[in-house]
Amino acid sequence: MKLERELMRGAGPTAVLQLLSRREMYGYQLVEALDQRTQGVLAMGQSTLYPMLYNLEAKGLIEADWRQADSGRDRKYYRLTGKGKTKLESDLESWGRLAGALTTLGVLAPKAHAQAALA
Amino acid sequence: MSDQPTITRAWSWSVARSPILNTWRWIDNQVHRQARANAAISGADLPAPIAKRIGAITRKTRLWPSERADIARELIAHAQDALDAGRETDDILTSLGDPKTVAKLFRRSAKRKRHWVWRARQRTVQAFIATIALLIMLYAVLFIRFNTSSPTIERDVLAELNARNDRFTQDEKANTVYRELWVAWTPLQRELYILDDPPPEHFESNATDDPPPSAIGLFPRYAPDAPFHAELTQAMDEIAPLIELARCASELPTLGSYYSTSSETVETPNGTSYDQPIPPEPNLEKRADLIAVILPDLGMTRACTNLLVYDANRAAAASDPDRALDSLSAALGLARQISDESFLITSLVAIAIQGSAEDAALRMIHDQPDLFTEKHLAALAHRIAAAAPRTRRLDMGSERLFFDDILQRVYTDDGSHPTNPDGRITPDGYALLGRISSMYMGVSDTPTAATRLAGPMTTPLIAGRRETRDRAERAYASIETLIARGPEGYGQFFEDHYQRIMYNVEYTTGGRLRHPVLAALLPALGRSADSVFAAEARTNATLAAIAANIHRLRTGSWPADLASLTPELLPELPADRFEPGTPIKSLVRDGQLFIYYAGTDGDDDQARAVPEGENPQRARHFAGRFHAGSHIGPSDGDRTKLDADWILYPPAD
Repeated sequence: MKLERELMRGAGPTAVLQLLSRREMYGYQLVEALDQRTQGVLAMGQSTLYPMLYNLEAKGLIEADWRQADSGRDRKYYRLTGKGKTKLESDLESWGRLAGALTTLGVLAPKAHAQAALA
Repeated sequence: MSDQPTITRAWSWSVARSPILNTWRWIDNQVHRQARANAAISGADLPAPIAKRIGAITRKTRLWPSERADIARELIAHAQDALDAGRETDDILTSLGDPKTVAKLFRRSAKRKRHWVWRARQRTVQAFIATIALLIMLYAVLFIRFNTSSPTIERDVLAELNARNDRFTQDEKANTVYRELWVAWTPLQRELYILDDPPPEHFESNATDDPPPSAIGLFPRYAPDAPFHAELTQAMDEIAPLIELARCASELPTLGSYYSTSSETVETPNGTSYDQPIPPEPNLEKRADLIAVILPDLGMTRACTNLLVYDANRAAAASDPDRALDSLSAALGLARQISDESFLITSLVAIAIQGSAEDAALRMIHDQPDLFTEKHLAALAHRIAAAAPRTRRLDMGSERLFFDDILQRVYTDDGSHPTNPDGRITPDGYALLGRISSMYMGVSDTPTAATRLAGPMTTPLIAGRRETRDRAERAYASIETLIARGPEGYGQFFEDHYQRIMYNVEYTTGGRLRHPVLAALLPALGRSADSVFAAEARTNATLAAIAANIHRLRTGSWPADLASLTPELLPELPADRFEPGTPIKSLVRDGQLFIYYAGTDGDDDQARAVPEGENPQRARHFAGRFHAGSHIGPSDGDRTKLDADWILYPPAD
């Protein structure tokens, strides 16, 4: 099941920043991680991911460089910047408050709340 | 300090994006736009559909070559990872999405990644283009609005102008008699001037001495010793019956001019021709503007005045006081008649005619003290006093009609008011103003292409119809009030009213641009009041001189002062308006009576005359006396106040 477009637009960047907060990743890794770790909820194709990465890069939240992988292929690795970390913390707090509010209203189950935080 | 790297990067980015490099980059982009991306795709050994799709996406982004290559490399790496992970080609194609949509997303996000200097420049260019587009749209609106506008000419101003004279019968109109005299005199005068021409030897001999003035050169003064006096006398005898008729005509109630913008040339049997006004074009739109109206009687009345004054001088020389008085009275009557035509120019001509008659009268009284009896002098004083109030006024009635006619031919009429509507300037209006400014020489009757193209841009700057009329009306009213207040009004009142209204119009480019109608039609208004004040002063002095001479005839001596003449011989003592609060001045020196005003320096110099070589006008300018603006009154060279008086009696040679 995929999210509505507007929800995805809000959740996608936070999800990507969260993934990159742990380690640097290249594009295919991000696509796979979003698909597998969210059971397809936040799955996105190349056509969505890469423009999003470009936007995050333009805002200075992530940075990237081309490197040669062990396989000998060139890959572009993305990682979080200091500004990106601050933004992620702020986003997580906002999402947490939102999830809490939705939980209070009974829209979300406590378990879903925990998942939404992607902690 | 923390900004230093950013500034350095911005500076280096700016250098890298310098115009020359940018030009080179633009050419390179045009030639190799897709080359780098294609090279990356072809070297990646991908399945053809995927390679084709990535190529399509990168091409449709229309980004810089380096950006396209970067996107291509990223999509290639992704596709290779997917293939390595066992994904099917179709899955990968699905993941890549629609090329057009994806390219758009890439394009938008890639542009966000570009340097802020580039984005600032883009915004500047966009703002510039938007501004230009806005200006073009604004111009288009103004162009249509301007070029579709036209004046609404509904008021038959010419009919209003002729209405006054339509009240009189033909027998009550004097102009036909004057014309007969003028037609008879013109060829005679021409022959006398031909006689007066210096012989060709005069020009060949490098003679420095001009020949003595001839009788026609001194005309209307009577000069029996001047060359060709006999010929002039003979010519005057030929037209004597017509002069007698003119004397009678001067008693008629009106000059009776007929005004029209159309005329026909009338050829008379003696070879004289003149323009005779004929009924104008009935279609108001096709009719010429009122500024082109023919003033047929203006030159004629000046000529007849000279003939009457000459006849008076001749009669005086022949010791015929009755005829001299009759001819002077006739000239005064003519001044009254032309004054009633109520144009500014006819008012000024009336003032000049009255002045000419008064000067002649003073000269006769002075040069021939026993010519006139007391009865003659009293009659002369009454004639002058009766004519003066009418000729001394400055009638603006016809001037206002002139102005309204020009307004209705220059501006549109928004119908907001029956007599003072608002409106905007039209192409036809510009053409008319061009013709007025160029005195109708070599300017097209219809709007030119330049007018149609440039006119729309000026319309927001040009004063509207109502503003123009209101300002003109204030200017007219300020001059009328100035005349009512007297010459002292040339000080602060003039500064606060007329100057404030008209100075910008006459002397600044912005004012002339904003008020083209006023700039073309009203500049001489400020000077005209000075003529009225001078005429009034001259008439008062003439009446005082006549009263003093009556006293001399009665007692054999000059009066002790002019005050002693009131009220029996002089109803009241005239004021010296050059020196407010004081009366006209007089003194007797060496048996000669002097009657004079303080002059432009405003103090009594005991009848000191203007020194020889100085312009006599310097002693008689009220505008200069009361510090009117620099553009009113005497020219700059004559503005310094002269330590002299304006002496009216005895008359200057």
